[in-house]
Amino acid sequence: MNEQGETETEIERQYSQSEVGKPFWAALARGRLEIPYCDECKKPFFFPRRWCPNCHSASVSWVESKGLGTIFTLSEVQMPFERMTDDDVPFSALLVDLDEGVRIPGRLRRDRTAKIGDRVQLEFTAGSPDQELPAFVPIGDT
Amino acid sequence: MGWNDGATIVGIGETKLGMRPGWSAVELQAEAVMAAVADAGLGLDDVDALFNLGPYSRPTQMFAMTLAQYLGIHPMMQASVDAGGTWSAMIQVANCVSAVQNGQCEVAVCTFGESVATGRVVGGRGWTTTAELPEFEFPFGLFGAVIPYAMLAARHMAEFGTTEEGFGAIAIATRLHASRNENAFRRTPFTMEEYLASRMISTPIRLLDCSTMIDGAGAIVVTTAERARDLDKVGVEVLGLSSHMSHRDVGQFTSFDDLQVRPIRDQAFGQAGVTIDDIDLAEIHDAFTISTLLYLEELGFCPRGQGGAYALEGNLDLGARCPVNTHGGLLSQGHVAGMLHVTEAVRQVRGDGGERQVDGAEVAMVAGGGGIFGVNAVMVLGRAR
Repeated sequence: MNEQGETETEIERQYSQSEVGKPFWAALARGRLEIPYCDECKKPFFFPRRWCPNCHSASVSWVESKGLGTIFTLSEVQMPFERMTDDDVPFSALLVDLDEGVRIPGRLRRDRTAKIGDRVQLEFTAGSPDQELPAFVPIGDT
Repeated sequence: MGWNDGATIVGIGETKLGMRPGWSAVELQAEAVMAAVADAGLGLDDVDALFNLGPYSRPTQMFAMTLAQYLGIHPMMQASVDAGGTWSAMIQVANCVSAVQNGQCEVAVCTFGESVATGRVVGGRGWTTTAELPEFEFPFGLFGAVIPYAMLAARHMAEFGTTEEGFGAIAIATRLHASRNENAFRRTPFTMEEYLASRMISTPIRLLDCSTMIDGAGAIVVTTAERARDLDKVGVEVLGLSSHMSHRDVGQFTSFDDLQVRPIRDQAFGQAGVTIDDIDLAEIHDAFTISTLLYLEELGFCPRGQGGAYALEGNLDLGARCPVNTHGGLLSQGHVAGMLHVTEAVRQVRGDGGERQVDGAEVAMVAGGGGIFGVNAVMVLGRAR
């Protein structure tokens, strides 16, 4: 159970490492992208931490992102690294510039192709967002 | 006090590099230290400061104490310094210089090396293995070294028009240098065709864009200018050193401008009183071909987007105005994080380069970074006056 009294999801169990980052994973597991927000600067930032990295205010909260953005960079991973199997590749790792003004890591949906500069939308898995991390899809490609 | 006042590099040591099963990091570092101290004409008993970096492939604590204890020496000061990549080597040399300049010691030694080829444990830090998995990057596949570097190489291609052949030219030129270095692990030259046929790991990084994981170590000895004059070796001084840290994890990379390579170059050159035309050779971080390519551009050897063409035109080779990575670098000699970039720079400035000596080498630059281009540094070395 988390602070909201919700049952811990598979995503939270697998990926949450820090207390301060838990809401990020909890939101993702429930079909929402929430990003840290500084109540002083009135601006989002990434990654989650206890103080705003710009003004160091401790007044940080969360804001929901539309999950829309532009690919800053992309690499298609073709070799399975440690902790991966042959079935895990290829996949494309991304950095996406969200429209809200932060750059976040992500993945491209495996059956799609895209290039740097393409517009993308974060897509949550229908049915079981609590099991599988969402992936970006090119806009107009959904 | 300037960088070049009162402290002189008088010894360099390198172990045999390659597959050395049965050799641990502390043994490799001990071998390098003994070689460097002997090269200086000193004894282990003279060493009163010891700096090192513990192995990334097998996490350790207090590794400078481990090494001193193994060697049976009792220095006045010792520390392990984990600063990142080539900067780890440079900051260790800087620690040696500062300790000697401050009068805290007379003979300072620094070393790095590990058995990353044969002694790696799963979950060891760095290289393709990684113990620290950044919470907001790892789940999406951004971890280790290759994938993050590939992401910035891809961005470099999109932003500046860098080509695959450009990366290939760096790999080919570096291998050619390694063919002249008996202590390089990969010495067989290859063609662009062979480069382009090499296995894709993570676009645009191919196998031949990646550095070579080996077992081995290097070490440097620094002593007072006064004591250096009594020794047999051509002394080499640190003339300038500057660095800047921008980020740790690739997700926090902002822009190539924000790496600030040009301002730190200018600061180091200013301290040394040199311009880029005075640099006789450059030993540049090359964990991947994108590293060399990016630094050639950011350091001002050629405009952005032209690093590949610059290499294709032969500007990295022996006989060029400023040869680059004369030892074969991390790509072909083997990955010792930058310690061997420093030993090679010292060797060349002394005139001890043998078959690969750069004619008239008096001023060398060691440049490059650590992390995923997250920290960058420029060091200028010259013959002691």
